[in-house]
Amino acid sequence: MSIFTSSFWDVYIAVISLVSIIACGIFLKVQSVRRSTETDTSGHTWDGDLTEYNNPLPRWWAWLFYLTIAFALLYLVLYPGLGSYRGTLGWTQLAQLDEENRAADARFGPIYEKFAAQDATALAKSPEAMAIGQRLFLNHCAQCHASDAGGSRGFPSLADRDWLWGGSPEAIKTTITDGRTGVMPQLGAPNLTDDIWLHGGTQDAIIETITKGRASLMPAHKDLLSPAKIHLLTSYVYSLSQGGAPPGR
Amino acid sequence: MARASLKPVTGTTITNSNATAGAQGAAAGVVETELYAADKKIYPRAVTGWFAAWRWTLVWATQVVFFGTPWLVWNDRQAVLFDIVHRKFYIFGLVFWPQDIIYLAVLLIAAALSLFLFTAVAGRLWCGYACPQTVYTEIFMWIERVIEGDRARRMKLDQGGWSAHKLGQKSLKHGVWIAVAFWTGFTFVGYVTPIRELWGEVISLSTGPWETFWMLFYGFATYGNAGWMREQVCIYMCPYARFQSAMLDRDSMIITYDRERGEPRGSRPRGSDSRARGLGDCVDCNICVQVCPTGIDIREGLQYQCIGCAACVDGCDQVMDRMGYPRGLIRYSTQHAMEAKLDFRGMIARAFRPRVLLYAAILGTIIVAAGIGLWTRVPLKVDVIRDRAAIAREVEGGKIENVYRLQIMNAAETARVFEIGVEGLPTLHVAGEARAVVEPASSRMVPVRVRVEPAAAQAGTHRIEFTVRAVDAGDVVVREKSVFIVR
Repeated sequence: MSIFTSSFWDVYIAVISLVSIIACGIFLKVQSVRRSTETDTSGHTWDGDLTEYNNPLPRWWAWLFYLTIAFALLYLVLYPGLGSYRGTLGWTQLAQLDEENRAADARFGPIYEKFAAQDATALAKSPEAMAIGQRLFLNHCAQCHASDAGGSRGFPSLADRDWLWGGSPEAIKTTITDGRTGVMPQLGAPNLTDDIWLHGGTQDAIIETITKGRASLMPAHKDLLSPAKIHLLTSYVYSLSQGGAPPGR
Repeated sequence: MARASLKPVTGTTITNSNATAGAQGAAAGVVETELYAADKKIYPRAVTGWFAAWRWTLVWATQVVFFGTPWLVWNDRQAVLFDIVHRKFYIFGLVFWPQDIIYLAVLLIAAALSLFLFTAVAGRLWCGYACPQTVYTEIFMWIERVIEGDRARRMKLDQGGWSAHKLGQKSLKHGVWIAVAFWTGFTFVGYVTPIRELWGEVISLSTGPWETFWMLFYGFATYGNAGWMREQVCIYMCPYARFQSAMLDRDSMIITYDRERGEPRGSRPRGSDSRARGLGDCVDCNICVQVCPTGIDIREGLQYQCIGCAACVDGCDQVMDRMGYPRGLIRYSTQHAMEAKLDFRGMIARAFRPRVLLYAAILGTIIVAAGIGLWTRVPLKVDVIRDRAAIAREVEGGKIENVYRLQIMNAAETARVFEIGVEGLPTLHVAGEARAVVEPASSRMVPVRVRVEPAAAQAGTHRIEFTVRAVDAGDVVVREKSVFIVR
C-alpha cells in the first residue's frame, strides 16, 4: 500500500483543503458585486424569467463569512489538519486523554489515598468506602463474578467463605494484583469434600474434569488498576465473605 | 421579460448605497450593484399609548420572572435550578431527571403550538411583546433615551463631532448597558449553578472557567443584540420572521394601514376640511415611520420586517386625536376585513376558523395530557439490567439463581427505603436482602439475586416482573419487566 510509503495523499488533502478555503474567499468576493444592466435586481434569474429584487444584506453578514475563512486558516496552522502537518500547538488526541486522566486522578486521587491509608478490615466497615468499592466491583469484576459476586460456572463465588487461594485481605490483594492460574492437575487443588463446585458438581461435570482437566485464570490487574483502587476492592471483596450482603444495602 | 417578484409585494427597497456608482457605470449600460450594504442606523422615536403600555407590562412581567426566579427558595434549596453537572432539574416541588426529557419535548411542542395559535389569530404577538430580543431592546432603548434624549437629540449627537459631552454620554450609556447585560448573564448562569454561591464567587472574583465564560457570553450577547444589532436580529437572523408567510392567512390580525381612508395623504392646516381638499385622513406626518423599531413604512402594507409591535398604531392614534379624526387609521385588522370592509365583530367571528380551532384543540389536549402526566408522576424510576456473564446458576438445594442489577432512582427529596419484589413464576423470590435505602434525589445500583425452585420452571426464558415499592408510601411503586433464564 502506497499510503504508508508515499506522502502523496497528505499533499492531496492539504492542497484540497487550502484550495477550497481560498476559493470560498474568492467566490465570496466575486459574488458580493453584480454587474448587470438592471440596477434594482440581484442579477439572478431562475426558470428563464424569475428574478429577484436586490435587498442588500448588511455588510457584517459578509464579514462573518470572511471570519470563518480566517478561523479555518488559523485552525489549520494551530491544529493538525493539513495532511501530516502536526500544527504549531502540537495537539494530539492521546495527549488530551492523558491530560484528562491526570485531571481526574488529581481530583479523585485524594479520596482513594485516604482509603489506602486505612487497614482493609477496618475499611470493610466504612459504608462510604464500601459504596465506592461496590461501584469499582460492578465496573471491573462483575463481568465474570456477577453483580452480587456470586460467580458462575468457572468463576468462583466471592460472597461465600470458601477460598481457593486464601480469604485474608493480603491473599485477596495478591490475587487481584498478580492474578492466579489454576490447572487441574497441578495448581490450586480445591476441597472435594464440600458442596462447592467451580466447574460443576454433577456426575458428568466431574467425569469431564477428571478426564480433560481444567484450567482457570484470574488475570492480573496491577497494570489496569491503581494500588489504591486494588486496596479498596480487596476490602470490598473481603467484606462480602464477612457479612453476606454488601454493607449499605 | 416578465418579472415575478420574490419580495413582499409592497415591500420597501432598502436604499442602494451604490446608486451613485451605478450611475457612473450606466454609461456602458452595465451597472455594478453591491449585494451587501452598510447598515443604516435606526433612531426609533419614543411612543406612548395603549399598546406601548401593554409592551411595558410584558417587559416587567417577563423580567421580574427572569431576574427573580433564581432567588426563590424551596425545600431549603434554590426553587428553580437546572443542575446540569448532576443532571437534576429542580422546578419548585419537582425534581426532573434526564429520563424525564419527554416533559421537555412536550413543553417545546406546546410552545410551538402556542406560537402557531397566537400567530394565526393575531400575528406576531410574540415578536412584538414577549420575545427577549424585543424586551431587551425596549429596556436598552429606554436607557438610551434617558441618557441621550429622544430621536432628534440622538441623531444630532451622533452627527456631531466628538466632544467631552458626547464622550461622557456615550460612556455612560454603554456603562449602564454593560451593567444590565452582565446582570442578565449572571442571572442566566444563576439558573444552572446556585445563584447565591455564584454571587459570592462573583464578589470575590473566583468564578469557575465555564461560569465566567457563560456569564460573559450571555452578557455580551445581550449587549450586542439589544444595544447594537436590534432590528437586524429580527430581519436577518431570526428564522421565525421568515416563515411568517406560512403562519399568517388572510384572517390573521396584522398591523394595517387603512389605505382607503388615508389616501391621498398630505399635510393640511388643523381644522380644515380635508375632503374639500381631496385628501384622505393621513396627514403624512411620518410619525409611524419614526417610531418603527425596524424602520419601515407600514403604509406600504404587510412586510416581513414588521414585528407587530403596534408602535405605529399608538403614534398614529395620538396624531388622529390631535387632528380630531377618529382613531384607527393604523390598527390591528386582517387583510380580509380590510378588503371586505368587515366590522370588528365580523373580523372576530372569523378568528374562529378551522385552523385556529384545530391549533387550540391540539394545544389544549397536549397541556391536559402533560398536566395529568405530571400529576400522576411517581418520583421513582427503576432500570433492570440482567447480568450477562452468569446466565443462570445452581445454588444450594438445586435452586436456580439469576442475578440482576436494579438501578433505583429516587426522585423524591427524602431518603427512602424501597422493597424489591419479583413475580412471574411459582416460588420466585428475591434471595437475601430485598430492601434498599436510596438517598434523596439520587440513584444507586443494587445487585439482586432471584431464585426459583428447580421444579417450578422449565428450561428456557421466562417473563418476570420486578416491583419496587417505597416502604413509607404505598403509591410510590414501579413495575419493570425482565426475563428469568433456566437452563
